[in-house]
Amino acid sequence: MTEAWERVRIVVCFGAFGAIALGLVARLSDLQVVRDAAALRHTLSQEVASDTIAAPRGTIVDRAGDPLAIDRPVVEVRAQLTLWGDARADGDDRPRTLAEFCTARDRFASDVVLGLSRCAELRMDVAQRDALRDALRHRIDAALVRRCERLDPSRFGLRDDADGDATVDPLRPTPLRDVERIDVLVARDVQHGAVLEELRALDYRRCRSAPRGPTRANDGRVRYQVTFDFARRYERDYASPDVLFGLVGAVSDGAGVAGDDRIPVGGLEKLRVLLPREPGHRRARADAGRRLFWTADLAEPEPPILLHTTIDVGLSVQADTELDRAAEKVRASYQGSPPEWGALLLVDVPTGELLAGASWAAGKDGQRDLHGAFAPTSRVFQPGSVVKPLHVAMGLSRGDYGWDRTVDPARDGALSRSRTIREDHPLPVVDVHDILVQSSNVGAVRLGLSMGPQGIEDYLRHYHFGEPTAVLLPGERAGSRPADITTLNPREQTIYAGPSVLFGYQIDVTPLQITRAWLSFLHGAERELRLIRGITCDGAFRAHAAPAVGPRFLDPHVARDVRATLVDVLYEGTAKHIWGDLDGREFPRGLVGGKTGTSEYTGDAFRWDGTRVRASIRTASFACFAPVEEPRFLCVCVLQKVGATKFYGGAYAAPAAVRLLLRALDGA
Amino acid sequence: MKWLLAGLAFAAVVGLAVATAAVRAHNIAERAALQRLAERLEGARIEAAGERARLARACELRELIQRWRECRQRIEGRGS
Repeated sequence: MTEAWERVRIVVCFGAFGAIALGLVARLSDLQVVRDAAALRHTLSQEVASDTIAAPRGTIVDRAGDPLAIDRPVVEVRAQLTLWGDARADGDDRPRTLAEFCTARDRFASDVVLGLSRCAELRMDVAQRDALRDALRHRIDAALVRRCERLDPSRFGLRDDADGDATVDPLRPTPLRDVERIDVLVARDVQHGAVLEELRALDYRRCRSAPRGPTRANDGRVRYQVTFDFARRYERDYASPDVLFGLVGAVSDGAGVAGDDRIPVGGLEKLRVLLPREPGHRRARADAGRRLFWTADLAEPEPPILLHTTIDVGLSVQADTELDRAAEKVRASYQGSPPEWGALLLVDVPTGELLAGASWAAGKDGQRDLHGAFAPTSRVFQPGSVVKPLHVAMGLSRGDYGWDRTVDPARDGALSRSRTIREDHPLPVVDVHDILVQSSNVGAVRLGLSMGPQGIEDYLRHYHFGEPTAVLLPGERAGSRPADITTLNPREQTIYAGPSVLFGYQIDVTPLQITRAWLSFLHGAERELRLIRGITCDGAFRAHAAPAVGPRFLDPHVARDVRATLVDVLYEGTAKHIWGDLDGREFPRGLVGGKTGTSEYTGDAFRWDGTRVRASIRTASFACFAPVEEPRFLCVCVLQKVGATKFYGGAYAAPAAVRLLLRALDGA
Repeated sequence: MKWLLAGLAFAAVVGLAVATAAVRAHNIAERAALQRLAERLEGARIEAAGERARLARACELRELIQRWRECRQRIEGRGS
């Protein structure tokens, strides 16, 4: 009986153990194998928070693919801070006096500073540590003031300083019992991994696993509990920002981290294609025990678009240097008075790509304003004689006159009793070659009038005067031109507007537009400038449609002969004095050709010092190209000066343009 | 024999329980380690981007061009 009973007990016990073991195995198998997918889905559905990760702005790259403007990620750190006071029997540890608040606040500030001072990368000295500690204290006070605004801060000894800082009077009672958590900015642009590690070590959620946690106050109590929010934001970095500000532009500093609130200022930065794409998300989840459950559930923001430009940074730096030299030469020649503005542009002729664009503007102190308006797109001027080869090549191509046509400036200048065209300097009887080389106004007008009203209108249309270019730089001015010449009355056609446009008056152009006109002249067909090659989006390059090539309107042989004639401008014409300004550089005759332009009119103008004057406004320009036989580069320089005399394109604009052209040829 | 079997069964139950807890603890620890690694990686990426920008600023293009020109002149001078 006893043995039988004992056997039963053993069987029951063994059965129970076996059943438990089998149950555990079955449960384990069920969770890990059978319901594996369902359990994972269940866990992933327990989302407790979702952070948005801002996407970067598009990257602008130069013609070699190197970044000109790029977003650099940094981390903005904010603390969600709960401060504690003395321990009390009722278990309510919130600080009851501002002295308790200050103790806890200072402890937090000290811990953060202690953590950051361990980071060798920051190289913080004592003064910097003290400054950071004070800043944190002020921010906590300011956050407290903001949280307590509804509670009449003055009643609690909280006050805002005039400079926006806040201070706490420790002798007053605290309103903190009504404040659960304080949101404090700790750092705005952390970019060292070690700093992030140190701050994470203070996060109470990680204290158990972190090597360092919050330190204790003198009374042995931990006085605060903090969690950190790490939000990604971006700082914009620019290559050679002073040189490329006009072309590339800039963005203002953003105020917050919710999305991208930076505002583009000028240049390519204003293009909508650079706006940030879809942001990413980081989701925090909790397990069945409501503990945070890291799942690597991170969706990175969409990668930035690459905007490919035609800019050559090296040549841009050269252009900037040369333009600065030209402006300083003007200053030296006019007793310290600088030009009002200047522009220097370099173009790759076969493709029409803009390689470099420099801008010079005088500030009110007379020094260069590095962030002034971009002169190549924002300034208009009357181009003057620099347009003469453009229509002379047309007239010769059309057969309206030949190279042997002569004009007597002394006799042919009078267009009517009311208007006489004059030369800047006395000239004898000139043929077409001399008209171009010696820049005869009378000759250019007489040749141009031979084309008739339709011919003059064709000249204005083929060179697109009065139209913005296709470089897509925001804010480019359109310029202006007279109404359709063929619709004007005969007096306008032959005495006023018609003749004026033939030597560069009654036309307003930007430096970019006159460069486009010269590009068309060198091609013999309508061409457009190009600044954007295309974009790369998600690894795929999409070319920006190249501007269409218009109809050929110049005979290639005539165009070649006109280009060859323009070589003489540098040797016996209006630019023959440049040789002393070329740093000793010499080059074979026939390599470089060009044309000077000097326009002058009297009008109201703002001088560089801000005074409004009625004075002579002179614009000196020079367009040159090389090699003459088959042009590779085109360079245009424009400088404007108010109230100057003897301000000529050959003296001031030509040396800078030729020097830049030679630099481009060196590297080609 | 019977006590040996009882002990083994008991040990198996305890072992399973311990193993279950260990797996769970290991899971949590590994997950925390992975999290720290991911955070360090992100920190390193940010640091690398900052370093790249710092280095780019350190070699100013104008200065590089000037040095290149000087070198070129020296080489040309040596050649002649």
